[in-house]
Amino acid sequence: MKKVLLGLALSVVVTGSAFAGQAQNNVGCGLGTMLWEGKADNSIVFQVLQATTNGTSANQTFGITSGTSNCQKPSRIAQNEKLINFVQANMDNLAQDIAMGKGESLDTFAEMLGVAPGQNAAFNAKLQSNFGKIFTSENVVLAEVIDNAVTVANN
Amino acid sequence: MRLLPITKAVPPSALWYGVLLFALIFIPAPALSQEPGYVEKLVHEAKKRKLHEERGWKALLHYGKNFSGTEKSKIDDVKFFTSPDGRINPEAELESTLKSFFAAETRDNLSSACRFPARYAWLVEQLQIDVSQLPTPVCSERDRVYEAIDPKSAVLVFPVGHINSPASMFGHTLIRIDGSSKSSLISYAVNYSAENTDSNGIAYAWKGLTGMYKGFYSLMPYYDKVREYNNLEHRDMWEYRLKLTAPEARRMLDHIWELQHIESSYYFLDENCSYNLMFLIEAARPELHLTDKTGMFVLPSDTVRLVMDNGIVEEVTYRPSQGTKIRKILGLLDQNGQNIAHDISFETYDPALVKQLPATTVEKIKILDLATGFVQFRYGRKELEKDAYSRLYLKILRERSTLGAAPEELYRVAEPARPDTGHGSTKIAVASGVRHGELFGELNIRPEFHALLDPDQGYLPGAQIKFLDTALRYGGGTESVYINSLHVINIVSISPRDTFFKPLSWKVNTGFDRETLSDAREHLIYRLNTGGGFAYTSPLGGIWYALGELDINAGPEFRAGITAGPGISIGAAEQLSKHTKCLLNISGYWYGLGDDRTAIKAYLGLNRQISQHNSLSLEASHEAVSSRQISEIALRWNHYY
Repeated sequence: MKKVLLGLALSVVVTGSAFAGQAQNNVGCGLGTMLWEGKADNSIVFQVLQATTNGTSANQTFGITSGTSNCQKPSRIAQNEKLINFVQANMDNLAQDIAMGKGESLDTFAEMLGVAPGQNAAFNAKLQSNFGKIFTSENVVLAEVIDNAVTVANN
Repeated sequence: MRLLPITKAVPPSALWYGVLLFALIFIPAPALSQEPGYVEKLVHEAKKRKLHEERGWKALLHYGKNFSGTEKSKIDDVKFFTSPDGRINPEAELESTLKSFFAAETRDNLSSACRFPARYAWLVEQLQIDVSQLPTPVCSERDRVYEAIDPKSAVLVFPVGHINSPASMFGHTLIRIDGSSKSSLISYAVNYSAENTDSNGIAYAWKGLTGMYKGFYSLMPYYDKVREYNNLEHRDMWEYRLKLTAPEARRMLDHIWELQHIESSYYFLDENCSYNLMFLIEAARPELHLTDKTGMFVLPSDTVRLVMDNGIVEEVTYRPSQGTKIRKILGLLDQNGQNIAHDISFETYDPALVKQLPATTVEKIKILDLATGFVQFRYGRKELEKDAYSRLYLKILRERSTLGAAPEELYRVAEPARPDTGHGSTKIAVASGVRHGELFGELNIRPEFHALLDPDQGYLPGAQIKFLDTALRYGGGTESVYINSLHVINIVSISPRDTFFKPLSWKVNTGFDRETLSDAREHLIYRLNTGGGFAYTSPLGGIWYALGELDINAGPEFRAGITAGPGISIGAAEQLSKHTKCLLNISGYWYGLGDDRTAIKAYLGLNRQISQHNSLSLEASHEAVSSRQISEIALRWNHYY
């Protein structure tokens, strides 16, 4: 099959240090990061008013990047924080889109990888038919997902 | 998800002071070719032109007149001002801001120009300041954020209420700033929210109503917000693209930057998430007046209508929630298919068997896609552990990936009525009717929000929230005006159950009602009524429900001042045509203690929508209390605004 050109997917050598000290902690680097902290209270009064505050005790900050610092980084693409953050936060949706062969998360992923506009359909189809090679197991982490997807697309 | 703050206060370490001291002694002041008296000249001109009275300045500092008519900023955080009395003195604030831009601050991120980019840009433009005479600010953090956001345009986003939580029916608003990317998921969203750590409903309510919580603006990737509302809370989202130019979007971001870490008191009812976003739109285009056009209560839907009315919306996009999408697929499958999807999500059916089913590929796709949605939903509700979820999720998706893409239009969800097309949230109604053979007139005022009988267009069907719903009557056998009912709060959530979603329907209502008691006469009593039960989608497309209830009444007429009894209600809500709605309810209550009586009530209501903000309703009821029979019929004109 024809290679899908990825604008950003330049092979980059990553030193061993990038992998150090991560084996023990994959929380938040794999599937299932979508779990939402339960709302503090289910009382009616709370619910009525919560809706108007959108109240959470989450960090009130200007978060341009999310916490991927404890995750292994992909080795087959140039370091791109925005892409890594996106895949980490959307891995479940991305998995679903790849399995379904289309979707907004997959379109975003393709755009960030620099897939040429005319090649989107080929990229989607290729990823869909190689789903098992991208999401190899339930313990797959984001670095592997990105690297595997790049490998599949370039094959 | 953990968001790492990219801005950190500079630690006041000894090292820092050392560097500062060194700088003061050895580094000469930046060699600026500043013309002597330039600052004074600008200050003089600003005063002469009364720049502080300009709309642009007022919008950036959130100045507005308070009840007593004095000009004051809505923000009480001193960090927002450069002058000690900046909050109440726009002129002093302008002068000190202007001067602050000339102060030699060489440290990264700390100069006034870095902190207040919108004010900087505005003053430079208004006074034609020769920027070569200003110190060049070094703002590495801001540059990084701006590079990531790349402001080009802005979108007002409205997540609607949750289907089973009328509490969230008000919705919420946030603003998305789009850059050059085609995908909006990687844009950034600005959110204004209260920081609260209370988990107690009463404390939460009290603090929220009295402004004891602090509100903050925050910025995060839009995909986090989509995940929160669309995926986890199953709330549909509406995106209203604003007609703002790239320079205006940039001004908005400048102002957002100025509001970073600035706190202001959060009031649930008016100075809330939606109200505070209006400041951002005003900063982008100061000619717009939005924050001074809101009323006593500010609801997200009101602000959406306000923005629409100002003609600054160019395109509206609907983003159905995951729940909506699941329901869509559910509706496309027969019961057998639904059951298989259900069983897959409960691990009692192997997804690998789906491809052997005697069904078309499209049917198999639907079953697996539905099962995927169910599994995510179960995980969101913590019915599945992370490992079990991930394993099952991938197992289903692996099967799904062998079936190819679904036909283009298969899952297209029909767009419901836009929230801005709904009726205004305040209602005033006049009615005339006959009760027990006597003519009466009624005036009804409901400050907020939506009742079951009101037209559903733009609202969630089956959900009701009424605040301070008050009905005054004249006549009906007396020659005076009296309170017929005053419901402090009245919430109903009728949410249909299906193969997968099993929500409870519930209601709670408290307030005053005129009620026929065992002495066969009417008395004004205080009531607390609550109930819970089930609802199903009817064969006619509406909702049928049954609730078990508890009704507690208090008043001097009762022995010991109080009575209580269990009750049941059954009812139906049907849309007879696009603009005609019908409600039917039959209830029975058996009061034992305090006032021995049985009350059976039947009610039929019809509502005909005349225009967006007007409707007519016809309501008929009959009640049998102990041995007394009372009928009532009334015609009502409802006006919403």
